[in-house]
Amino acid sequence: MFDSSEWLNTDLNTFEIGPYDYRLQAPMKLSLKADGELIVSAAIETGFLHKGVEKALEIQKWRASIAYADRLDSSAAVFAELALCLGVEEIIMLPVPPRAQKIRIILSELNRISSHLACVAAVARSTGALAVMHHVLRDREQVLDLLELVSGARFSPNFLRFGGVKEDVSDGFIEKMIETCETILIRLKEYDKTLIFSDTFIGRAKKVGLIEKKLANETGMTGPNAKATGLMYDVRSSSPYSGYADIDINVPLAPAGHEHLGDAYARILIRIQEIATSIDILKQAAEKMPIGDFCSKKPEDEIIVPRGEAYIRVESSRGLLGCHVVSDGGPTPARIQFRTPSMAGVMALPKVLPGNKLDDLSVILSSMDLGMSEVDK
Amino acid sequence: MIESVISSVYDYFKEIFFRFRSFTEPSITAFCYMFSFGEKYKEVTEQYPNPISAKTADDLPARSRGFLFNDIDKCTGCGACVDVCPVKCIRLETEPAWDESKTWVSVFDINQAKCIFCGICVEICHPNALIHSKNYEGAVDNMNKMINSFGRSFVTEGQRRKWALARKQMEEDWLTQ
Amino acid sequence: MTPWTSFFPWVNDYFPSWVQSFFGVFIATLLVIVPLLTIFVYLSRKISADIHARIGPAVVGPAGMFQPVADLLKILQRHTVVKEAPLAPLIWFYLRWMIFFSTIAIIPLGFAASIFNSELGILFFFWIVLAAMLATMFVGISHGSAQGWFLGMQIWAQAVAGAFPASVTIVCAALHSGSFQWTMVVDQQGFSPLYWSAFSNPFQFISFLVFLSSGVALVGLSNILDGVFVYNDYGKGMRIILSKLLYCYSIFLWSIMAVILYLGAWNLPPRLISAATYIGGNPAVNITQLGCLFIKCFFLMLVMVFLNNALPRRRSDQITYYCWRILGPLSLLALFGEGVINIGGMLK
Repeated sequence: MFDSSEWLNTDLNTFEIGPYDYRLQAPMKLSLKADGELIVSAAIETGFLHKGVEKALEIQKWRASIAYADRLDSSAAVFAELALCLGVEEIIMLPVPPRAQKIRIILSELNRISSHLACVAAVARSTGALAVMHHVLRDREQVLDLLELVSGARFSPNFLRFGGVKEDVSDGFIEKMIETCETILIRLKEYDKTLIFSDTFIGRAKKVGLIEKKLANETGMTGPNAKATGLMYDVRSSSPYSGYADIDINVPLAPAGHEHLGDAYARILIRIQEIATSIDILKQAAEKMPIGDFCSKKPEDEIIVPRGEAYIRVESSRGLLGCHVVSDGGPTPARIQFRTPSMAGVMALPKVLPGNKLDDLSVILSSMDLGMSEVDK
Repeated sequence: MIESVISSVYDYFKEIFFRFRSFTEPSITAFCYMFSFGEKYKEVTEQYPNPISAKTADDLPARSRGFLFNDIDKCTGCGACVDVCPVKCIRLETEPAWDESKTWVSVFDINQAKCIFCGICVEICHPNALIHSKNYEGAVDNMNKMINSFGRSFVTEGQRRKWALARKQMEEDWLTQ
Repeated sequence: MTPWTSFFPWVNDYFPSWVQSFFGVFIATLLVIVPLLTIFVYLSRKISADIHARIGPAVVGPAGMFQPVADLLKILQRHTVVKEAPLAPLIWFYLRWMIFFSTIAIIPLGFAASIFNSELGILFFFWIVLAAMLATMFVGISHGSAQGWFLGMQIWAQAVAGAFPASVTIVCAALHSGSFQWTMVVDQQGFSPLYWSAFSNPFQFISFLVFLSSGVALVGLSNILDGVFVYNDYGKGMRIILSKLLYCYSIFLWSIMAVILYLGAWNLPPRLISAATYIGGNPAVNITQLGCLFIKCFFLMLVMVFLNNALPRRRSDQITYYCWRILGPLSLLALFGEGVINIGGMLK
């Protein structure tokens, strides 16, 4: 009779969501093919936030390289500093005093809490729960105030030095930190009521953006994204660094029998549990804080890094952050390369997006917490 | 057959119930925020240029890194800060001072727009001349206003001659003592 | 119009009635609707700021009351730097705006209901809103891009999904009052909440709740990101203002329909009516009735703002599922129950 495909336009819609879009959390280009409202295929283009950090590190003095490592990712700055410092300390074979190690742990966990709160705020914003977004950002401000109290800056603390930290923690910092931890625990219960267990949010986030364990394994995903799929790997517990060995960490993992493992809802739940774990670690570190030196080197000591290389793995808030430090004995680093965890998420996106609706794009992207700044370096 | 009908009807009404229940908890919390029922629900922002309530520079923590300030009397012109600055925002030019062993810092320009406030120059400054002030308001309409000059400006020829004369006078006084 | 033109008797000599109604509508828009919407914009910003634990407008005027005026003046001075918008979406944009605001002519603003008292009063409203949503779909489709097409179809799907339960509940309300006429709907209700149509019997209550939910989908308010219509990026300040005005007006339409059908409209207690007549005659009564109507209307609009800010948003297909699969049967249930009650009443 008549062939309906002649007059029914059944081609796929192709369109690009450009570097700047209200659905994206960071600049990236998504080329989508959609069948109606279902995404059929996706291709991603990155590089819009390329700053040339790794090249710039080759021409800076060793002392200035820490300031550049900060800029790898703004909301998770301390982890890159920590990786760089641990790398150089391994080459120089410089011991770090135990007090400095505990201070480093405290800073790392504070930064982890701040980064996860930012992700929760982004997810709340993408589902339209503006009230929750503002409340989460208000609580993040308290953590940032703590960071400013100890280092002088909210986002790029530049506080770690080779051999320890820049100066001792200020008076009253530990007490204020415990107070903030208690406040955040109370607020986490409030978020449970307003966002996590509300039926609307569950409807938006369950079964959305499913990542299978196999895919996480193939792309090298680590961190909360991988833990939500059931892939258990946390550098803090498997190969402890910087004093994590005597801290009891109960790493949250999505329970095995949980349905819809690896969807956006599981990722958000894991992040909230990681905030609670970090608060626990902070309390333990505050209790076990030894008295002593805060740095093995003085600022006036010259930094001479002999020939050598080191590879350090650190558990950043987004996953495993690797840092390869190569020194040829000169005043500037020969090469510093970072293996950033968000890259795995970017590589997995073309396989995660198909099968989801276009409306869910912003929820998926915000729940995966891709730090494009560290992908593009 | 009957069980599937009953279970689907039950699921249907359970779904309706959950949907209506998801209204109540967030609404109650939002209600508490609207009327600020207690410490937990207060508003946390302040109107910005409000001289009474907004945080002044003194309220910031002691270690806050604001704009850089150089005390030119303490500065020795060693150039360590220029060397270590990650973004090369400091421009330094020196000349011999009236006492040949000392340095006259003629130009010490800090481009506050380029500065990344990392604090390495402050840490490495040996005489503690460079410090971070706690000032952070740097909105200007012309980028040249962001360059802060702390130098003493170049020594003129007339000034050099006066210094030479003063040095000769001092030597003669010392010789005739 | 007649009680008001008694102040200006010469008007009847010079202007025919259609000109009088035209001016009446114009004045009603300028002096009543636009200030109302300005106050609503301010209140909605303050309330959403309160819920977000922040201050909100506080600089311009006492407690920031003149912030909408300041924003209006600022947006009007906007320069466009992008190229001019394509023509077809522009035409549909203005058409949509005109269709929506043409409902001002038939809004029953108290005394004005008696002027345009057709027997199909409520249904006019419903059809015009549906036509306006169709125009909204065309704004998106005529954009030419895949995204515009997609958003247009989404809006229309939501509007149709909301239209079904909304139309059934309108029929239910008309069954309760005996006619689609505005004045009959209002006369059936009284001042105190016990006499409101919403609380008169359980089926009317169900139909009230269903109307509230499906009306939101019908008027197109449910899935808008941050309350700004997504493809309003045409730059020129006036269009942004019209868009914002339209958003507020659609909330106003939704709430005024709910108030008149279910929440007692502009009925006043008899003592208040006699007191107002004593003070100022018929115009005073009209103004008091308008005041009562707008207070209820405002309350409902602010409830909408509150829910917008406190709750996350649903996806478009979840909204249509909700309207068809949950609200649809509920509205039919309400209609059936109301019919049974009415037939029972008739048989007595």
